[in-house]
Amino acid sequence: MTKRKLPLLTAQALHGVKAHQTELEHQFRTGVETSDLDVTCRKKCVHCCHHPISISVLEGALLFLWLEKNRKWTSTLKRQLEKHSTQVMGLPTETWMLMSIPCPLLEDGLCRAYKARPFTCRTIFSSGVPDLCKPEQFTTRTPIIPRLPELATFQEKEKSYHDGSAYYTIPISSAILLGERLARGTLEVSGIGPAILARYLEAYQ
Amino acid sequence: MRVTCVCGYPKEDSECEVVEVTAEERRVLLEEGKKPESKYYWCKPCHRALADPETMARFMRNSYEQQLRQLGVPQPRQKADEYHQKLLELCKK
Repeated sequence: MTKRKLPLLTAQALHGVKAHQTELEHQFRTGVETSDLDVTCRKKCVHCCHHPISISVLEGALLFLWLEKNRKWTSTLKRQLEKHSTQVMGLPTETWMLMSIPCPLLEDGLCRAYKARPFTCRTIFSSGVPDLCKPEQFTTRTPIIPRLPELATFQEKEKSYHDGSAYYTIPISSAILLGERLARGTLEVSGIGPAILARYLEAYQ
Repeated sequence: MRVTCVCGYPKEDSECEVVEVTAEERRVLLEEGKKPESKYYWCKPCHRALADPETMARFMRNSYEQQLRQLGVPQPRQKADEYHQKLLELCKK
């Protein structure tokens, strides 16, 4: 994280979410590694980077801070995030999936923020034919190792940091852009809900 | 409330983009044996995303491949790729 002084509640929330991310990822990964499942995910396989990815603003802020600290936060990236956010905000998941829109963090087949990727990306593993993870081939037969209980646990933990503000997950680009405001101190944790609502209303204008 | 094209969710009129069918489009649809509506309602996020020709072509390609797979048609990927190529050529015109 940067040396920027964050408001106490924001700093607590970000540290808490980061800790839960690490702990729950470790638990899930250990479970997968000790099971009989053969993970078929490989570097530069990017099918799941074309799935709809929605995360919380707190995870968005963690991503922003990592990108900034590692000098990857550029005006070009910000423009790409804004374009992506405008394109996908308010889209139903099924429609978004079929559009195969690449994650804005994807660059030359690699994630620009792999070390700081959100929990949903950390816990997605395929145990079968990777092609079945392609959006157009995605069905109930897609061999993604089930992780709904882990995602629910993580989201429950995230909710506890929301200081009375409503908890939502939103498209990754929108979350990073709002996360930037949170990290720069122009948005408080209690203002996340109204800020998300404003983004949704913009999508319907 | 309208059930929108594409995503099929019920939306208020204010949340929709209304696409009116031109006389020429109506004629083509009738020739194809379809019963065109005078207006089509799209939810604004779908309309915005699909206004980008590349995204629209990819969306149509993927929907097509999914349907071919559901129907058990052989070589769905190849057929969908050919369809995608045609759509991209149309986009260039």
